[in-house]
Amino acid sequence: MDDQIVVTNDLTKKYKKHTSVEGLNLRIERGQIYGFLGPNGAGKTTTIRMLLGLIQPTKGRIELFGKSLKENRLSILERIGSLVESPTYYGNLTGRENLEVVRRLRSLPEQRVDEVLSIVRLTKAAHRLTKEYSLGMKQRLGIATALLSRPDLLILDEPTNGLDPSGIQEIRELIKGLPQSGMSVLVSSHLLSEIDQMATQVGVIHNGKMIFQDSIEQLRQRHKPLLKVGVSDVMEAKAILQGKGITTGGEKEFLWFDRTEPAFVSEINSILVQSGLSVYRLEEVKRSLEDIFLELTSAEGSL
Amino acid sequence: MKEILRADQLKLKRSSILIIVLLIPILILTYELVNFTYRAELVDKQAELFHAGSMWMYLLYDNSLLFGLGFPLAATLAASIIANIEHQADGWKQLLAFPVSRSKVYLSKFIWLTMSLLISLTIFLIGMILLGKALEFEESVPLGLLAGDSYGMLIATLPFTAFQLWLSMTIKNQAFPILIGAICTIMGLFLAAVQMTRWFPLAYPIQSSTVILQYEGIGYNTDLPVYLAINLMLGIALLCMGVIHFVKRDNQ
Repeated sequence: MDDQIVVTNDLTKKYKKHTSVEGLNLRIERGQIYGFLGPNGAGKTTTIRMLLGLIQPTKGRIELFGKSLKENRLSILERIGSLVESPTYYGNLTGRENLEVVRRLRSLPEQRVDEVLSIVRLTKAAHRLTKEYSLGMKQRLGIATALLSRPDLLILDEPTNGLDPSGIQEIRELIKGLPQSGMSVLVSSHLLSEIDQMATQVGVIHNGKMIFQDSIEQLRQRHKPLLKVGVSDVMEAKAILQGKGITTGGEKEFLWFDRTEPAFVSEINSILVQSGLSVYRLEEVKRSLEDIFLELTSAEGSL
Repeated sequence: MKEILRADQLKLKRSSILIIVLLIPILILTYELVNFTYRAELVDKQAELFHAGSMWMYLLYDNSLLFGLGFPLAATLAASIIANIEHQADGWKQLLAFPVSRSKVYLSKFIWLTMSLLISLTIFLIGMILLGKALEFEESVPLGLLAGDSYGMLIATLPFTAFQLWLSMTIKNQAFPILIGAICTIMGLFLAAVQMTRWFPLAYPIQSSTVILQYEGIGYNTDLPVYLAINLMLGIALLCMGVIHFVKRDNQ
């Protein structure tokens, strides 16, 4: 199973009584951009810290590149670049020196520093002290640090935090282009729109549990648009349609259908109109991923 | 290991470690300069009273208390500065997610701490020699005594230094380790004053001069080798404990 980059089995982290991550089974394959989605405090960062060996899992196994993290920590970390939460920066050093620290530590070639500086467009600011950097610049420096070693797996925890719209756009394009060089990316975010625009796979975590994990298309598929019909008498309309063998999830004011193809819509319409009811609205309701996300998380919350 | 040391070296750039390195030697030497010039008569009288073998020995005796108090404080602050570079940068999570062994990360910090203190002691040693020359001490420079006094202090404070580094690395708020360091230093002074408790390792820095005042006057400190042997072992033990704890702990 060469292509399984990240596999976790029943990954659990407990802090005294509080369970931060519970029974997580994460799967990331080569070349994927995996969007790790969840509200604040869902356990995203805890999971990422466990993947990087910063904290020990209470239970469960982590395998990266097909090897157990516990036994092969150093050789695995060799192939990972990471940015966890707020970026690390040594304020007393310039941007270039910050990268130089990491370059020395990992004995990487010197020209790599210039390369990553230009990737994140910090070349001009490279000689300024990082304590004078804006949050967005610090964030970009963090990404540059993560890219410095040309990792096979890039783990970015909320990489667009604090960036302005053009910065977000830039980072997004940058991340999208990474799999071309065989890199796999794990990006966490609490913003679905963010993940929607760059990820190929999605994992949704809520209260420490994985409540959805599949491709982004599957997530969209799972919640196809609905047909909303406004009709003068909902009860009667329901009864008529029932007679024709069409079930509906009717509410007080509107009828709801989970099919929206044109033929079906006109059929419904003609049935109702011919029965003497007046139809005043036929509407296709597209649910945004936000709605889907809220639905997924609230369903879990009500358990 | 070399890579980590070189990376850590760069992190110290433009930090305030240099101030700490210079602080104690300059303070003590300035005090002694004033003491030996403005109070020259008194110093001469006292040196005679204590049967000091030379003015050098009197100088060593005179600064031993200040040095014994000041140096542990310098070690406390230096440990705090070195550890705080990572705390302030939010650097632990990045550093430990690199393919480097945690024990080497810890040892590198310890080596740089020891190096800074070593530099501080060397400045002190050179400063004492220059001071003696400037004040035209008659006797030749007792290099062994002076060097023993300076570098012996490094070993005498080794357990303390190792403990302070561990505290500063573990606790993010540096006010706490600094407070503990200050309290321990003062405690050393009191412990050293009592016959029973002066064998407690915390009291060694105060007593680790190569010369001490005995009944018959200023003489060589025969207890010093024992102090150094005990604290060298204790220091290494505490360093190892620090490393083991650091390797195992979760990084939030």
